[in-house]
Amino acid sequence: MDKKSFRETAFGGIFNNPVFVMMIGICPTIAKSTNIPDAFGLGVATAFVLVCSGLFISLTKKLVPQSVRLHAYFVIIAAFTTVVELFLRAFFYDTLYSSLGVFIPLIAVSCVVLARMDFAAKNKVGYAVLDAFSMGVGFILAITLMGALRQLLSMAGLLMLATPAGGLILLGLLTGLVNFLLAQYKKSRKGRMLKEGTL
Amino acid sequence: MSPFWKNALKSAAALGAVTLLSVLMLAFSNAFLPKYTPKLDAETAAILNEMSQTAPEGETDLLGFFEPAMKAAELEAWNKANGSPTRKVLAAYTAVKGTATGTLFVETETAGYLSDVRLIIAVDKDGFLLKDKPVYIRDMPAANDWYSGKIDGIGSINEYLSQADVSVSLVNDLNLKKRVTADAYLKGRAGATITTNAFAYAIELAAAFYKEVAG
Repeated sequence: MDKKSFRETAFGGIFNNPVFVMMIGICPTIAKSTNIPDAFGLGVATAFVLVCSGLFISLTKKLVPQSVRLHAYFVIIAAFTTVVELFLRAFFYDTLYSSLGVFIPLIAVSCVVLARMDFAAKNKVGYAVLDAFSMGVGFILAITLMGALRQLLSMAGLLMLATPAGGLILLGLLTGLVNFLLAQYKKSRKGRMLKEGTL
Repeated sequence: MSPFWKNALKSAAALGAVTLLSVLMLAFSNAFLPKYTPKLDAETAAILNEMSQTAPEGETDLLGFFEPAMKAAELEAWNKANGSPTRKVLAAYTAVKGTATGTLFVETETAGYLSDVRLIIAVDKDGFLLKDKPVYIRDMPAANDWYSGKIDGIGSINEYLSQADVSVSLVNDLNLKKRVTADAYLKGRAGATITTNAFAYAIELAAAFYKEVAG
C-alpha cells in the first residue's frame, strides 16, 4: 500500500463523502436525522455493516465466482445487518431499536453499503477495510451533522426542518456548502503543490 | 464434466459456503446476545401499585413488588401471532409481592379515534379484571375523545367498566360478549367512536394475554 493510495483511501470518506459528494444513502439520512442520537446510532450501525461486510467480502473474493458475486454480497450484508438488529434489540430496545424501526433492516439495501462492496471485492483486505471504515466515518459525520443541525434548529423554532421537506432543503444547502469548501481546499492544495513543484 | 456444470457446481458451492458461514454467525449471535426484558421504572411501579394496592401503605420502594411478565422477544412473537399493527401489547408485569400477588398488568396500545391509546389493564390471578381500578389510561391524545366527561351516567372509564359488569372471568371468553354490549351501549349514548373500540380491544388483548401467561 503506497502512501498516496493509503491517503486517498483513508480520507475517501471526507473527499468522496457518501452523502454530500456521492449523494448516496439519502433516504436514511433524511428520514432518521431529526435528532442526534438516532442519526449517530444509524450512522454507527451502517458503518459496522460496511466494515464487516467489506472485510468478509474481501476475504472471500477468490472463492466466490463472478457470476454469483452479487448474490453472495447480499447474503453477507443481510447477515451482518441482522447481527446489528439483534444487538440493538438486546441492548437498545427502548431507544435506538424502537426509534430506528424499519431503517435497521434497510441497511441491508443501503446504497452506502452496496456501493463499497465492489471496491472490497477488487482490492486487498487492508484496503477494503480502510475504505469501508473511512466511508463509514464519513457517513456518520454527515448524518450526525444533519441530525445536530435539524435538532438544534427545530428547538430554536424552525420546526419545518424536522419534516422530510425541511431535511431535503437542509441537505441541499449542506451539500452546496461542503462541496464549495472541498473545492476551495483542493484549489489551495493544488496551488501550494504547484508552488512547491510537487504536482 | 462440461465447463457449464463445473461452473454451476462451483457457484453453488461458493454460495452454499457463504450462506453457511452467515447462518453460523447469526445462530451464534442469536444464542449469545441477551434477550431484552422491558425495564420496570419507578413511575410504572407507582401506577401498578395505584391500581392494585399490593404494597403496604407508605411503602416507598415499589420496584420490588412487580416484575416484567415476558421477555421482549417473546412479546414480539406473541404480538405477531395475536396482535395486529393497531392492537398490540407493549409490556406486561406481574405483582410478585403484597396483597395482590399474581395480578397481571398488561400495557396495551390500540388505535383510537385520533391516535393510539395506551392503557394498562389489570387482571387478577383468577382471571378477573381488578374490581376497583381495572384500567389505567397511560396515554390518550385527546381527552374529549372519550365521551365519559360529556354524558351523564357513564362517568370515568373505570366506573363505566364496573357499570358494564365486565368483572367476569376473562378465561371464559365472556369479555367478548361484554365488549359488544358495552360498545353498543356507548354508541347508543354517544355516537360511534373508535376509541370505544380501542378500550374494548385493549381488554380483549389483556384477556388473551392472561390466557397465554396463565397457561
